[in-house]
Amino acid sequence: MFNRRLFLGFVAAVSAFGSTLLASDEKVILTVNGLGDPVEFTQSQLAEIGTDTFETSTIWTEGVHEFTGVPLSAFLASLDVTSGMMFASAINDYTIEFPVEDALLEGPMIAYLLDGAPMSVRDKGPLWIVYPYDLNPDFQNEDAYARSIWQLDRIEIAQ
Amino acid sequence: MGVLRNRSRWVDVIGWRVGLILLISLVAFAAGLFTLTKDARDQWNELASASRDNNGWNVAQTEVEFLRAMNAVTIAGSKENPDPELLSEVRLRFDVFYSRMVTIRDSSTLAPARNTELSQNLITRVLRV
Repeated sequence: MFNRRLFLGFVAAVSAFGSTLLASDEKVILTVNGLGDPVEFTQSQLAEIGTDTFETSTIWTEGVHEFTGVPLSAFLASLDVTSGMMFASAINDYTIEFPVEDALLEGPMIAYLLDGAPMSVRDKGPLWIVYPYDLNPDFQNEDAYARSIWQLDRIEIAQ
Repeated sequence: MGVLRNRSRWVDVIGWRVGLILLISLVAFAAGLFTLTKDARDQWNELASASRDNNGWNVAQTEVEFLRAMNAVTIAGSKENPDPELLSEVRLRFDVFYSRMVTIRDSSTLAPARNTELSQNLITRVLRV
């Protein structure tokens, strides 16, 4: 009995250690600056904030796709950001300005899954700010298109 | 009495003519108003629902990403034993350029950019990698 308990305890300890290792091994895909020390996020940390899924077509891709990610409003709320300007930058240093006031509205999402799979850089990953364009014609405008930044990897907040 | 009867006939005639003119003016005004509001409505709809992103910028950016990728290749290629970091940079820059070519291939608004045989060939050759 004692041996069995010891064994189970050992297994639990090893698996806990293993999952910690795996978690720490996960790649950082988003860095937020402008709020003191830089805040880094892995995909699972983003998912912990909140998850949303919608299907939509986009003007840059063919057909309808399913996007999964964290709503931008929930993401900013988790950082206690309620006003100011958000500068979202892509791997190629392309940067968009996004007033926090607009980012807190319902609609935009930081997507990390495309059709259920993580997005490679070739698929416009690791992160892509998308709107449910098909769901609401209000999102079919130049502002929403300009703010739909792909290959997003860092955000700067100016409050 | 006769004068009065004549006057009322004149008023009838004038009234009928004024009425007709008023009616024509009203129809013309309504038509003008309709055309103006339709024009305004069309413009409003066009502004409210943009079907295109900035195409010129998208195509120009593809060239920028191509040059960045070529630059990364040149830098890595100039070393005898390039650092893994330099090779990662080559891969990253190529992937960014590749994603731009995928956008040109798939985007509904960029259809004009793939209308020529030359652009079709380029897209096929790059995306084969």
